[in-house]
Amino acid sequence: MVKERSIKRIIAYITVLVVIPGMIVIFAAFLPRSLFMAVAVAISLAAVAAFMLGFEKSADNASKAVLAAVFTALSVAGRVVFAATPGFKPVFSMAIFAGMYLGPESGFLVGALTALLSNFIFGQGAWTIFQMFTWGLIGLVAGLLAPLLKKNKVILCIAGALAGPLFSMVIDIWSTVWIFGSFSLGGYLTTTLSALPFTILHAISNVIFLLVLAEPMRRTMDRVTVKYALVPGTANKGGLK
Amino acid sequence: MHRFRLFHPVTKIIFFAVLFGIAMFSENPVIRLLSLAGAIVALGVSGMPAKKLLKIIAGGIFTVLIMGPVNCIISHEGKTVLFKIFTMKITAEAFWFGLSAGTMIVGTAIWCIFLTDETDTEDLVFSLGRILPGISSVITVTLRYIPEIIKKFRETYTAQKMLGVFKDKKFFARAAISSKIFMSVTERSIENAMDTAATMRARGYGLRKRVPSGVRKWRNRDTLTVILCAICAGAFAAGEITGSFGFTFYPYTGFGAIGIPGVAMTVACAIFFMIPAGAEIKGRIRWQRSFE
Amino acid sequence: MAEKLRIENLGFKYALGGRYVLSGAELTVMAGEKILLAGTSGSGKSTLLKVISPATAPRGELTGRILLDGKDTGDYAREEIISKIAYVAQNPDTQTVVDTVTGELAFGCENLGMDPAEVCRRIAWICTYFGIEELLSKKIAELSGGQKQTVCLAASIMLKPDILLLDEPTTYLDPVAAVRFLDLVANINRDFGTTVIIAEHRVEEFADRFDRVIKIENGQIQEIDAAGKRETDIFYEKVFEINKGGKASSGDAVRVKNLEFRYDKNGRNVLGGVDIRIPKGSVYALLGGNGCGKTTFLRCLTGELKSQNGKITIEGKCAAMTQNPLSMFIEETPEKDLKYFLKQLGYDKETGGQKIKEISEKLDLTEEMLKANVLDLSGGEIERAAIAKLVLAGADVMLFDEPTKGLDGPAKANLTGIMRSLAEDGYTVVFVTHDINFALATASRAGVLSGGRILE
Repeated sequence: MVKERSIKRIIAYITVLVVIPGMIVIFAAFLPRSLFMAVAVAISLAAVAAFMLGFEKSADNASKAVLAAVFTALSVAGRVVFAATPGFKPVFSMAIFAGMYLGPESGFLVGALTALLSNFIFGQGAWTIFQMFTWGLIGLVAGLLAPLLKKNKVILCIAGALAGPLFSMVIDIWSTVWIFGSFSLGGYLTTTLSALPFTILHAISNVIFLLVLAEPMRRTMDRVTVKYALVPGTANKGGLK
Repeated sequence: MHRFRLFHPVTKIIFFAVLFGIAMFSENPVIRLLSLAGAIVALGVSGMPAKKLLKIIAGGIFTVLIMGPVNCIISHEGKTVLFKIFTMKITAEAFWFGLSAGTMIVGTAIWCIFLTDETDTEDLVFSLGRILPGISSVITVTLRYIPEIIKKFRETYTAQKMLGVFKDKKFFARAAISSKIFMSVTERSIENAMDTAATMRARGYGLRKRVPSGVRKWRNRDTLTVILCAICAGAFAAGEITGSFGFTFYPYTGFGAIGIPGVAMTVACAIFFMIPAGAEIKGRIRWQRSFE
Repeated sequence: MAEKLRIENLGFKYALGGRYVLSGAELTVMAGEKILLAGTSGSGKSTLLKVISPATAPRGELTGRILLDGKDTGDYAREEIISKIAYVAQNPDTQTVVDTVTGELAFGCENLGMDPAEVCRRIAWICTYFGIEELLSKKIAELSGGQKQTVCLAASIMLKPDILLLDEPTTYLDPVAAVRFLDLVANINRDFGTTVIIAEHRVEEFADRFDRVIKIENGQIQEIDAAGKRETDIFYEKVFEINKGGKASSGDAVRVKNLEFRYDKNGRNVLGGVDIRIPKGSVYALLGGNGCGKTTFLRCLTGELKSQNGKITIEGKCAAMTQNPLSMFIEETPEKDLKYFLKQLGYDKETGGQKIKEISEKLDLTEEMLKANVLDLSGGEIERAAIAKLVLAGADVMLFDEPTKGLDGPAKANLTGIMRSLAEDGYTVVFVTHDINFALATASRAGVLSGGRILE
């Protein structure tokens, strides 16, 4: 029973992780501009909505809700307090940690909500929906790779360093089509290269944050789990007996 | 000032959805110009300081002008070759396309500034509260935490600075200490969060389906706006599908045949882009009259 | 009067803790009674208040019975118990859940699925009753501590409870806000007949406001008579008397001349010409009401804020302890933090270790405390560790912002001892506080900040 459900889940994740981005890339090459954009918006919107619906039930659990909230808040606040240093922000690292310690669903939620809420401060726009989708994906992937990332710091750092560039590559496909009317290599390179210094700094900052935060984060989550008896499934009952 | 903020959140969602749909999808330079003009007027009348607005406009003009040459380098379509760099054809059509794309980018960007100005998190919590009450409570808790965490970080940062930890340190050493401070704030926040979770449970969180109590009244202006949005979206779709206000960039730049749906679409869009400005101006007239 | 709550032979042990915090506790509470619950820190006051309602009870082993209106609290439906028993804890920051005041007030009702129209009516009623109409449009983050705690109380009243349990609700409030808060609780008790049990460590100060005073000792509850011992003398005149017996000293550690400060270019002066001299080796207490500029003055002394006029001369180095001593630490344990700190200051490992050893002996920091997580230390312990950090930072002048916030009696007495011994060693201690009794017990000189000036 449990196994069947987890297989279903894995299939769902593969759909989201491989099929959808793959489809976007293929569409970018073949569809005309307006149709491509409509499809990209619809897919991102549908994916974000699906994950939110999936989390809706878990949000009844106060501990789960609050942990997702505190990770999101840390990540948004991080974007604010490190505003003076462009690119040096703990946003992706918090999404990765959320995925690792709270599970893929919470990881997605934290990434997506970070984009949505921080844009109320940094500027809301059409990109919000794509940011929500891609930042969410980072949390989701971290959740799926959790055992690996927890075990090996090197893999964690590599994952963190790759997350940033990967994210901008996906976004850039979309902006190329949006601005230049169709997907062309020249246009793609222009958008990608213009953001290159920023992307590199971003990757470095992710590694710094992951290195500094990894150990304390594990300790804190262990501590909280023991101190507040956060055993999955029982936390909601609370009280005596 | 900021009359559009008072509109019902659902109205705002519909308006901005249609707006971004048109502003970003349309390739028609007339519509793009109308969108840009509407955005600037909307910002101007809703209380943006003139200096800031001028800065935005200057930045916008710069972007539009630079997009022309940039597109010439990327795209070599079009029949009117202006000159050649090595084997690269620089065409007038590509230049016009670039200007038009620049207009669209700037128009969208300014509408985004307007969107950020006129919506707030309460709109979000209200509209999500009806559909996804659970996610909506996660958001409210997050919003409660954000200022708290920023305060904690600033406090800790100042305390460390006063203790002399940052003295004579280079950029990366400072960054490492800053991230350590962020880490300690993280630890404390997660721990505090568990107390919050206990409070929430004690106050009945998760026992039943939450019923949000926030009230936002649906007014006549909301009905009117939604109707206008629907008409405009319809006119835009009709215009696009019939292609009766055609505009092509390649191989030659120019207008195609102009039909009735095309004219209707243009007029509808012109009115639509002025909705926020209209609301603002109406509010101002009422305000003036209230003194008479 | 009917019997409201009866506790029979109650015992409780935490899931992780070894000993029984409560054992054989007995208590009967009549409807509409107002009870003060006394007891030292760690005596089980909080535990008792928490276990009364299953909704707030921590994990652990419970023996005995708790009867509400003659029925075991465990037999009530969860919704029912939540609306019958309200609980307000000490720290308003971890208790507020929603970002807006309106949302916070509505939170409990929304959870129970109450009709939105009814929720709005209740909010209207509660705002009128509490006089907090002007807070309704605000965010929680904009409120002061006293206002936050008032909102917490209002939110707990929203469900019209029979019993109101308050766990040291005034710990983080200044004296004026504390009295105002207790007055509100008294009004609720009188107007709605709500039964009130409130845990407090300032028993003498507040005893005469309550029907009964009970105390927890060795896990059991006893009735005590605490009335009559109240210290009524909190007049500032006594403060000024401190300065009369001042001994001649070897020079000034801090000299401030005509200090002016304002936050806004065109705003009013928060500090309008402060002149003081603080002699070397003295303990200086700076008192004053809320928002008089005490913290601003300290931040000027540390150099965090740049004054617009006047001159500050400080002999030697000056370091400050913030209102929340936790923000002094960025590592997991005090030991790790002090080591990291000394490394940043450029000491090698050996000298650093030696320094830490010396200071922890002096300040009575045990090995156990040094190795514990800073979040597990008590208020007094964390403050001692923070003082150690100030000493290690090489401070000659130490500044403290509200050092008694959240401390109980014994911890305050301990702090008095430490401050005095620091002064004897030649350090100069300056603290700002609301706590006049603490200032009287500790300071060798004192001043009152009022109207932008310091009066001595």
